[in-house]
Amino acid sequence: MIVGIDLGTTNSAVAVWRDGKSILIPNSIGDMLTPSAVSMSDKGEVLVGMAARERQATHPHLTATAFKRYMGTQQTVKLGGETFSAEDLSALVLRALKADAEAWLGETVESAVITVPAYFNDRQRKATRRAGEMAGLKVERLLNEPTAAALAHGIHEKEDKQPFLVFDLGGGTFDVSIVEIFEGIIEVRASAGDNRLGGEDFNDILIDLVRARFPALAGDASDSRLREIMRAAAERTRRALTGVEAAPFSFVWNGEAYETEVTGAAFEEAGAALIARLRDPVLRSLRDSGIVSDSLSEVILVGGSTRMPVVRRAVTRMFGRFPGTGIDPDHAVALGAAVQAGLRARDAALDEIRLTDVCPFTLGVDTTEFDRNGRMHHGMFSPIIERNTVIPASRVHPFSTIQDNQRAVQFGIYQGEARNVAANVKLGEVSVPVPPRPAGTVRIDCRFSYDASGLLEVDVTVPETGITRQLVICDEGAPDEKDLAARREALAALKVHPREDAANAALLARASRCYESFLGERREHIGQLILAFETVIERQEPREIERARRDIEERLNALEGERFL
Amino acid sequence: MNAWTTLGLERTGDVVEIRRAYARKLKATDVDADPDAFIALREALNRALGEAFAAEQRRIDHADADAAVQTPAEGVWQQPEPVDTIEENAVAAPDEASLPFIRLDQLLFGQASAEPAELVAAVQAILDHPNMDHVDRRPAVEHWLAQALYDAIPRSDVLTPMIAGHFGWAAELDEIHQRPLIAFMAQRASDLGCIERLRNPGHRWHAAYAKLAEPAPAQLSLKDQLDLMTPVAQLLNSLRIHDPGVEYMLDERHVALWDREIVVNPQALGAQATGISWYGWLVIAWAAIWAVSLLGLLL
Repeated sequence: MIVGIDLGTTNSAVAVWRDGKSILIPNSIGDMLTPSAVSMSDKGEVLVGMAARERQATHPHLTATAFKRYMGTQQTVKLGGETFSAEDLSALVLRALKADAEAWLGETVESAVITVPAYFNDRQRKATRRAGEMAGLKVERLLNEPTAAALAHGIHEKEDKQPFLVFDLGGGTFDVSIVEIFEGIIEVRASAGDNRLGGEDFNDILIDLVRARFPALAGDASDSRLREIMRAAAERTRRALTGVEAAPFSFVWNGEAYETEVTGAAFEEAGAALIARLRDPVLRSLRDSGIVSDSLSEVILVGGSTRMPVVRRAVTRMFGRFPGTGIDPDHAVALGAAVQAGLRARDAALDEIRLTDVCPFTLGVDTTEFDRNGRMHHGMFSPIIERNTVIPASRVHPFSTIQDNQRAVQFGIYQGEARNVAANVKLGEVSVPVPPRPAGTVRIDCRFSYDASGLLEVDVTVPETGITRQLVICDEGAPDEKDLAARREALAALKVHPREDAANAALLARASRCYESFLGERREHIGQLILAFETVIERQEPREIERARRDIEERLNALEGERFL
Repeated sequence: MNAWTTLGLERTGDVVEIRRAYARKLKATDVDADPDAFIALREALNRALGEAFAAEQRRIDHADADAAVQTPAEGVWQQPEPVDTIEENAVAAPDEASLPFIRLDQLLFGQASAEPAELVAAVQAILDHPNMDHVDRRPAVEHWLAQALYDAIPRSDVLTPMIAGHFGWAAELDEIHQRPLIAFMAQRASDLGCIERLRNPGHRWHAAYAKLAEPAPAQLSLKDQLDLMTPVAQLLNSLRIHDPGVEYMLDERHVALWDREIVVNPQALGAQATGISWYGWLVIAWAAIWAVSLLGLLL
């Protein structure tokens, strides 16, 4: 069975293609979305999802969230003595989703289509694929998130559709894609984005805005526990601002209650710089596809952060019209991933549908150029696959030697849009020996092949000698097969909190967080609730536990408002 | 293989027909199993679309040529106002949105030269307009402004750095896919910034720049040569590496006079580098003392 997985910065989701449509799979506590959070319990067990998210504010040193932002980097976090990379943490989330899907489907899940931001670079993509493999999934395809959303949206379109724009602002990344449907071919015309812009950045500016109002907190500015407590409060305020003009921002720190009010206008003003960053990718995707926005048939909003009124207003100003509201911004990507899974499995219902995507980056090598004055400039970027080329693609570019009797030619492989390779992302290096000849007389062919998952292969050939070399990844972070096997074992050896108990763990974690964020009588009340619930759990009466859970949930809702994902 | 056979189609100029053939072939291709077949199909599509486009272009050009013969000279005098690119029917009745453009146009291309403050105010009126948020209007305005600045050099020089800063044109210089006009104006803005710095009396090459900015004399005075040879040589060398555009804003003949002298005195450029360093002097002093004391012993 192939499932489709949306591995998000804030939340993840899993869906499956069945009986001619995409269906979201609920997790062990009945939610369609699973928070992308991992926490170590006090007993040294791994918690994933809601329980882990709730522990972010109470146990910041044992909890990791938003790790997708560090995908493909060397950065690690320590949780209770164990060291994890973003890849490991993602693998734990994927493993939990796999277990949820297997429990719901009643069959084993061997493989998955996993979505990535369109603007994820080669390193981030490879890291995502490795995370899938460590979770015991064969990664059939890495699918771009806006493309997945377009697929979920376009699958019901029987008619041809004029180009539409997918505006995907998630928890940590921003993508824009322009998509067209013609004769059942869903074709991405152009993608652009910013892989460091999302809802988390809006939380940060909200925290900074509020912090300035409490000079007393200046001394604790770098305290990670305060940061997480304020982040949780910011998330709640930001969501409340979706519906009202002004919302309270309240938290408890060192036994003292802090409360203030944030207006939508103040938030919008503080976020102006972030809002301005939304414009460039939109302009670029339109320019690259040669489409004017007036001829777009629709603007589709995807990603939870597009619920923010500030973002909706910015979109309305940019396009001079209101964006479409046809699809659920939180579910579209997972649903689209399931469509792709159906396509991979050659489902008969999808016989007349095909999807083509583009590579949103320019890929090339470093070369030496001579300017008008005959000066040599090293490290100039020479593109081989231009951005927004339809993939899979394969291009060859001939180069020649620059020195007499040169013995070898070395290519640095880069991805990016800058003339100078130093400002681009280096993906690897490949070197090939050449016969000694006068400068400029030896030809070297450099071939780039870009597959449908957005992964690159490079080979370099000297036609005269027939010698060929393939790309050697210089990425120090990339582990070899042995490392991978060792890490897979290490992850498998971790004790995992039992799936059946996830709902109880999530509720207890939430109650503990509430305990810390209230004072006085209400705090005592919550303390009693926790004690009572723990006694009920010990009695192991499923029906009684269920009833107690619902009761406590209602009481907590009354105290702090509904739980959200 | 020919693009048309790959698509399974007779040569045609009908774009819809070409795309339909591509869709048909794509559905019969297993892209995952045979990516090369897809790559070949995609290339065939691009080539077929390219041929259809070229044929259409030729048809339009012929039609235009015919039309031009039939309607003599008339259209030539009605050059569209630059405002046209912003608002379609601006010429007929200038609406409120196009007024700032007409105003700036008059200031930049009118008979009397305008005050810098007036120019800046006119530009600010355009940049502050709410239309600037729109993703179609914004690039149109950006292009119109770049063209106006280009056409109005040097009168537009007071505005260039301001507008370049507003649109972030400097970043364009570092990109591989440059818009030529924008890149040109970004370079101009950077050159103007460089001149602004050289005009500051505190700049180490200020004297050299001030001399070069003067009109060319019949020949260089000996005093100037003695005082300024090194800084002028360094300034010109630095400009040629970092800001080549600035050289073309100077008096060409004046620069040439200095260049002739610099070629004869190649040490001018490296005067400081070839000087004896402090430890060099230390060695020489030590040798001198040693020689004197040796002399003293001998006597």
